[in-house]
Amino acid sequence: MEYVMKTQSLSKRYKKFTALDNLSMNVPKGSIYGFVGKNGAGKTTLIRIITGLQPQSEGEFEVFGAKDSTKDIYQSRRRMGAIVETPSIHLDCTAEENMLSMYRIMGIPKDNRVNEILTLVGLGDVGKKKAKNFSLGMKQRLAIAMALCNDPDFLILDEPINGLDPQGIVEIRELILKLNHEKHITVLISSHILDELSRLATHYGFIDRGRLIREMSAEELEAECKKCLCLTVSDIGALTAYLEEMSADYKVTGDNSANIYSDIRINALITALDKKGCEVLHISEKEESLESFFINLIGGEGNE
Amino acid sequence: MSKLLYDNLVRMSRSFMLKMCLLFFIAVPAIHIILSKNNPRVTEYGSINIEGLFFIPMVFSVLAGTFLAHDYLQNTIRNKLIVGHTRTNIYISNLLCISAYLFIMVILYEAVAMGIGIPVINDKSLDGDIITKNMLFVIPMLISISSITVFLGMTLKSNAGTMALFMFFYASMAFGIFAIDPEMSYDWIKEVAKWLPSAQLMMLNNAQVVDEPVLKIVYAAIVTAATTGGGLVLFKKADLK
Repeated sequence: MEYVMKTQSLSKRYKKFTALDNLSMNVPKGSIYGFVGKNGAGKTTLIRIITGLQPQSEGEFEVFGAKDSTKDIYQSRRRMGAIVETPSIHLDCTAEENMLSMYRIMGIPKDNRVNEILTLVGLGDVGKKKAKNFSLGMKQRLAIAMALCNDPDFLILDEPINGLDPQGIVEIRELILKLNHEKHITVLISSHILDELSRLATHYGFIDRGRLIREMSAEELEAECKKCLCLTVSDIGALTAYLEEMSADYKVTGDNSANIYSDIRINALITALDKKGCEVLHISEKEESLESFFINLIGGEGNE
Repeated sequence: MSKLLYDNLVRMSRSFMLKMCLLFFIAVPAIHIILSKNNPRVTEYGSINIEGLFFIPMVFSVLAGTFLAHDYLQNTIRNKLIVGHTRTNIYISNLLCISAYLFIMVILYEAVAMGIGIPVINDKSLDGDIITKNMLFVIPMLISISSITVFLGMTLKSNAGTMALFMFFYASMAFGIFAIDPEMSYDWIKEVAKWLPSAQLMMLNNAQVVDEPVLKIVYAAIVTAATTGGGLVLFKKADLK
């Protein structure tokens, strides 16, 4: 598999505090990589190192095959676009002037793409309004537009939907999916809004206290976020006895309820319980969400 | 680096502070000359011309400091790094931009001082040779002032840099005043003043060529090299947000 970005034992220390601890991760080409972690986990620190804002304390990384210790990394970065934490825009300039500033920095001649990109992110009609008068959502959109100036192959978005209204979130999601599917741009998104990430990501990296805990594809995550049957019965003892006989994977969740993770025949279950005088009061299907998976993952690490 | 320099020059040209500085450097010599015209004790416009250069670093430092701080306060320095520019190129392009505009300020100031001063006050005793040599001497001083400005501005990374610049140049102007004061007998002040470029500007006049020009140019070159080298080292190691 080809990787756009790889890190190898990356560490970052600020005096006594370790922000990144021996982090190794791989972002596959063409993926939307969801980088998941709590506030302060190290997501933004990693992004700052990759984008050249901060040097690492130890370890190395490569982008498009160019190692950070070589001069080729500067060429590789020209194929990147990024938003790091907050929008990096000139507040005393209009949206178009901000875009033209990026064009100048990149050495790109002014063309029609400026207006195309601004329209794409929903800023086509802001006219001469200065960025300091933009809402937070508009500033975020402008930052995304500026990250798209050089037609990047790799887009790094650090909390891109912060400050956006629900419609804005949907628009940005659709934009990211469009960029990935149509232009085959690899995207690294860091976020703690897991529900939104679950609609986008093809791969995940879970980080906590500077360490990468798990790295997995969306398919692997789906398999791990177990579906289960939730039962409420009149006699929990009868249920658990039956499930033990069947060697089923289950968990008692209350005085009269349990979750069954194994694949069992519901008709046979109800018939067996009925014979034992146990009534099934409620039955439903439940799927573990990304949030609960992440909390269990972090909670498991925290208990080690 | 040319791309960075071009962007810096364009953004500086559009800044409100630059427009205020340009207005200042046109108005001050013009007003000074007009007010001096009716003063019978003023026989030469020299007090406006080369002797007025000493305050330019202080005023210019406000413009330069805010321009340099802008990139940090609004985090737009990230944009330059993310797209693959090296830290050396970013630093040098800032230095070149600041130097270019400082020279523009001085040229503008001199153009107004001479353009209005000569016909209005009409001093025929001025020696063109002395003025030319002193003006050439100013060039390494201006380069040194630019390098100090960029060093402090990019090291302090905030509006504190602007304040530090203003205070530094004000203090070095004071050294210049004390160095030319005949009642001030402390040699160490004169020695320190030889190193400070804005203090050197304080000592210029149209009556004589600057004293020990080669030594002072060497000092200016050392200050330029030290502040540029030191600034680059600090900037390359800096953790930016």
